[in-house]
Amino acid sequence: MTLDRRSFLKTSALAAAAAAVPFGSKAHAASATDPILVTVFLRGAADGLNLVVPKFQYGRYAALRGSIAIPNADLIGFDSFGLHPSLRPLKALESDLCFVHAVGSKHPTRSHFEAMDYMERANPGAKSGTGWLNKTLVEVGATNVMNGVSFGDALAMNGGAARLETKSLGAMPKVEGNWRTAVQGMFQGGDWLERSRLNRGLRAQDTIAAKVSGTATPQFTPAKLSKLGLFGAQLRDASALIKSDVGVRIMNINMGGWDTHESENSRLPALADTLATGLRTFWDDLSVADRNRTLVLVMSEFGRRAEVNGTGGTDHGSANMMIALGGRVGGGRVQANWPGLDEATLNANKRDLKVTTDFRDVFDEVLAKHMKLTRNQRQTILEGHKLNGNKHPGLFL
Amino acid sequence: MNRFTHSTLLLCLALGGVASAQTTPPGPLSVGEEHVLGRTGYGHDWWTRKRIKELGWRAYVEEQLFPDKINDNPLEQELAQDPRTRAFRLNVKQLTTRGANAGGYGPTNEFTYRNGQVRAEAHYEFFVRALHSRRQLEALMTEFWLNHFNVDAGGGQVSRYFAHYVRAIRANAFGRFEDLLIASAKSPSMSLYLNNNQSKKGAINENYAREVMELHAFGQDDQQGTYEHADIVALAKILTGWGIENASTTDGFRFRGGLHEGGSKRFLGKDYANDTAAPSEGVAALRALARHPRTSRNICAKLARFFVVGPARGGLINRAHDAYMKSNGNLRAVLRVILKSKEFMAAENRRTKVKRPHQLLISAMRSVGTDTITMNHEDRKRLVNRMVSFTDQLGMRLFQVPPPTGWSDANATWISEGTMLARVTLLGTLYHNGAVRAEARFKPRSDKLSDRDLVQKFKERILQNAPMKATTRKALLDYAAVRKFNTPEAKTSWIMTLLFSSPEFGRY
Repeated sequence: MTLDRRSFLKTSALAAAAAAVPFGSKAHAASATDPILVTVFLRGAADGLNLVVPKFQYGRYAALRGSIAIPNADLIGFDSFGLHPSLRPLKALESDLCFVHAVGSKHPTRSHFEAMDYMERANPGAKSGTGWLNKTLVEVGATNVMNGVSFGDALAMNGGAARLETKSLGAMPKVEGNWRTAVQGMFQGGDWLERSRLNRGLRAQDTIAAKVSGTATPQFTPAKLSKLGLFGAQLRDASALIKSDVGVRIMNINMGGWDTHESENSRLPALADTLATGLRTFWDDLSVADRNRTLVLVMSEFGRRAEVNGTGGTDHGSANMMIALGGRVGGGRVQANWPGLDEATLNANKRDLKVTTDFRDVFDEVLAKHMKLTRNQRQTILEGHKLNGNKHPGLFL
Repeated sequence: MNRFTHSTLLLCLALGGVASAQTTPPGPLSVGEEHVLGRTGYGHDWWTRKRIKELGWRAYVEEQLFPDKINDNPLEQELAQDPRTRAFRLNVKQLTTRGANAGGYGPTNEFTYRNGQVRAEAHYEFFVRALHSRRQLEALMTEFWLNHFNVDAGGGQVSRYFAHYVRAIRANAFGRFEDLLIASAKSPSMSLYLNNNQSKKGAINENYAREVMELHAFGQDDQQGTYEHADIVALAKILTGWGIENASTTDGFRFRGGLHEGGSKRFLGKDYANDTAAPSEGVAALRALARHPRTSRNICAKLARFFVVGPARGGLINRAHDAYMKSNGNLRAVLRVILKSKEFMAAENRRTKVKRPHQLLISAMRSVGTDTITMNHEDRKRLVNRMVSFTDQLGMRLFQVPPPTGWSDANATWISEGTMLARVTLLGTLYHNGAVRAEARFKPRSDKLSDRDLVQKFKERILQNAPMKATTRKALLDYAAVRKFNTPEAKTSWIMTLLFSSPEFGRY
């Protein structure tokens, strides 16, 4: 890894950021130095084995993947792996970018809906409980509607008061004047679910109008926004929220469409391109200081089968990859306790990539090293998980 | 004003034989009657108010359980010659081939369906039926089952055959669950959406087999131990060869023995002997799935949850389950148990559900008698486009839910910080754009009535005898007093739309 401009800036800013944030403190008032976590959930089980390909085991990979194997020459070298060619926009972010591979849940479910819930509760097997991001908001002392922003519905963000859920900031019509007084008056009459959401929505709207709306997001050009669709609008909003310092600590963005049971060769490139272009645009739009307090963590409910299915796609599997993008991430690496793709090392009878890193160990590292939470706080969030720092994948150097 | 007088006249003619009743509108609905019309359809309108008063609520529900016996002719006749519902008059072959016999409109071969165009017609057909059909329960159950057997009609081939899919679902909405399940399995839209058309001998695709068990039959919450991964693989093999024949068949289904996986398959503890001559294995397996007690429990719990939200639903689910098992999954029998239950009518179970976005809008339009039947096709299309956009802004892209789960029935699905702001503003915007119109004979004169009487008049018309909180009334009166209105008409319409934004109107 060469020392480019970005990593130089990162190294120097790293020291400043580390000094500014007292370890383990419960931050009651959000400030411009507080760490920010942005999670991107790839709904539908993204095919991690075709997004981040084990180049060093290419022969075995190609044999399993057959018609959907990415040609070796097209792979973009990244550590000892190769990225899907449509992830090329991420290459320039190499120094801030770390992948974790063969990561996932040991729970055997292959239901999207169960697996998403388990991941969002950070508690495989648990049929109830609030989301891990909501619990994290509680632990960082969040009380304001702007502290947690959920772009669309996500169980991970559900359950708390310090949350704004909306499709995008632009999708919040203005409620003003006499009409606003009247509407608020009507909803104060009972303990309606609607009342708390309305009141929080109005508070959020005031903050956004006063502080966020005018924030420049120059990288999100009309052409980019048109190409990226809702995902782009949400990333732009996320960037504006970070820059305008309104106290946002955690955001979640959903990106759907990853359930590639068929025609993966024609579907995955567009998905990967949208993801990579979106992340690249978002990252380029942030200042160095904001990049140094922001971590983007990309995840999906599980991986896909190692072997191509009968329809040029892949069925539900086990392990996947995760992406960590952050100013303080140890970039240019793919962290994996690689289980291998040999017949003997694939999961018995279902033939998919084994999980060697528990996704909760990734969460734990993020909570410890990025969000600066204490062991007790992390244990509250990762209920039922045996915390062990030695099992952290090592996103941060 | 002329246009309205004209419209009302046409409406009277269209409804036929109701002119005398027209002059004496049905009295306010009781709390219970208002509840029944809210839960078994898209809210009350003139005809349903009159009908439930004539029959009583139990007989009204019984009548709704037999939609074919309800004369829906004004609407059916209108839809039958409406160029915006042409896709609903075409079979799969016609939807595939370029414009063949496009319903008598224009020369043949002049029309090809583009991506999304059938979906636009499906939106149109759905909204017009929900607004005006007397078969309200049929319209509602069609929506319910389309959501249960969700496909994403966002584009492509799934969307092209969506009109056929809606008709297949509607035709089976009051029959046996297994027939509904099989109709869905054989339909091109579902087959394409969950890839079953591609699954073939030696190259299976598990997608449909997995979701049909997890979502359509057993349910997500209650599947532990009922089946294993091997059952998914077995069902996928059983269903190989179930394909689409879109160029030469009317229903789009064809079984291809040559693509069918040979050998015996063991599914849910039973062996299925190889049959490459007919789709018998798949039909038998889907029937077994539909008749499984866990499927019954899942379907009954989902229906009970849809119609009854509140305490003590357990006993109702048991009774519905008994009806399902005794009748081989007859959905009319199950619905009858649920809709005539004490739980359904219990006072504590009323107004416990948040209206779905389109339901909020449609129930508003129905309550004040918005007439779209007599509109010309272009105006009606523009109106429906606004309705689709409204629904979208409130968080529901109708018929375009990507995951196979469809929408969750939980109240929180429709209530977030962002959508709440939309819920309390956009109905007003729509009204003032001219979309939501009160019928001509229901126009309280704000210059002739005290604010209190004006608010009461709207309350009685819109909420009928359902309770309204004192805080809501006070907010309406304060608004009427404080806000400066340019005209008496503006005052009337703003008070009406504020009531549409109330917590009471937002629930049902």
